[in-house]
Amino acid sequence: MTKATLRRLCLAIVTLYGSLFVPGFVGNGLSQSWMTPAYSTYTSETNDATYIYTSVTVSGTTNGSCPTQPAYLANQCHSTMHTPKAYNVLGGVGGWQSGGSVYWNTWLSTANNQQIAFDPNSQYTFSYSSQVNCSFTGAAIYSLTGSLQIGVSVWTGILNSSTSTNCYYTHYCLANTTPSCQPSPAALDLSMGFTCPPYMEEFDLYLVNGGTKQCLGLGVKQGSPAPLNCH
Amino acid sequence: MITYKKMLIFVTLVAALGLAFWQYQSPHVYAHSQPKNGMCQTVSAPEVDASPPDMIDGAKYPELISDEIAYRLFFVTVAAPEGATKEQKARQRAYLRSAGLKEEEIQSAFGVLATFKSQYDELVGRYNDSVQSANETDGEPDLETFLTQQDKLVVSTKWALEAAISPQSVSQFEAHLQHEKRNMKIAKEAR
Repeated sequence: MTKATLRRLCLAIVTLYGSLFVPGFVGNGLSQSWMTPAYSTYTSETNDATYIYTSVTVSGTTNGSCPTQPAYLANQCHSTMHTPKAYNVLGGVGGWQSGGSVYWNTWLSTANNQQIAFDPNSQYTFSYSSQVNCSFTGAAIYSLTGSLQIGVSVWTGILNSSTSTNCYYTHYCLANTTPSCQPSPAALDLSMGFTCPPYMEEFDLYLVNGGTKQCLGLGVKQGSPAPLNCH
Repeated sequence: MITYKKMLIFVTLVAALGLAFWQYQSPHVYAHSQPKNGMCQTVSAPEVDASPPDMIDGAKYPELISDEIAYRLFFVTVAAPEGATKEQKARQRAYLRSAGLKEEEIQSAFGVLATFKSQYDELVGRYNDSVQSANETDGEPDLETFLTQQDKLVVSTKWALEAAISPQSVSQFEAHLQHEKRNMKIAKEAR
């Protein structure tokens, strides 16, 4: 190999690496120095007597100002778009939901809601993620991911006594079954004007974390003509 | 005079530095990359949690999440529009019941939250229009004013909701919102 060839090779390598890394430096500079993601994510779960509902909400903006120099970078910055995405899968149902692409410094908000009819004998995986993708970097500038197990505890009570406003029930689980969660004070609200049903069911959502059940309280109550097994 | 050996050392050094930098840079780029998915496609969730390092986790530090942010996220999540479908109303009812509201209070809450949704969407739309104008003219959007207006809307919605329910339900609702902070994660800069 001659010295001239070696010089050319050397120049080619320096040029190649330069072209590879300068955009990287610029990209990192734009996303990290001038743009600061300021987003919030809220994941929530609740239930009624039939369904478990989950929701993933991502909301917020990106703080910062575009650079004025160099001109090409200023132009690219002003036209940068951000796209929010929320992932919500409950018991295998759901997926990604994408909001529209908007200018990087606008206020964005997107929510992904899912629901499934529950079986008290089952637990369901709630997987969630929130992201904001940036057109300049071609990647997510904000991302959160997690998952948890959800189930519904069922408690049954039999009418014990009543006042003019409340019906009181005592524990009445069939076949010696036990509920996963203790019921809240067993008064069925009579403000809707109906008479006391002979039985009451309470459906309490619980989360499973490391094998431990965490009951969320304030379960849903409803009158019932017949008792159920507790779960 | 540059010798053949010196040149080889230089080339090797450049190559090694380049590779080292590539190794340093690549996780930042590719760890965040996700497949492009359309609406509601069922795909695997990303494995990588690229949460910013200065994220406040409400499960650990609920006291660092302001009530304004907590109530806003709750209202944005739960509020259904005027003329909501039966399914949207059932979802909203479930959220409000677990927040401690009684059935007859939920009917009033529907109206309060529909008003919130309409005013919030209008506020955000107006602000985003101003951002677009500012971007086109090299100006600065007025984020501070927008955030102040947003906080005011959240507080007035909270008052309207609490005026429509019993004191006992107000206590349960406020306790529920504090508890819900465990499900919120916010960037330090978020307001």
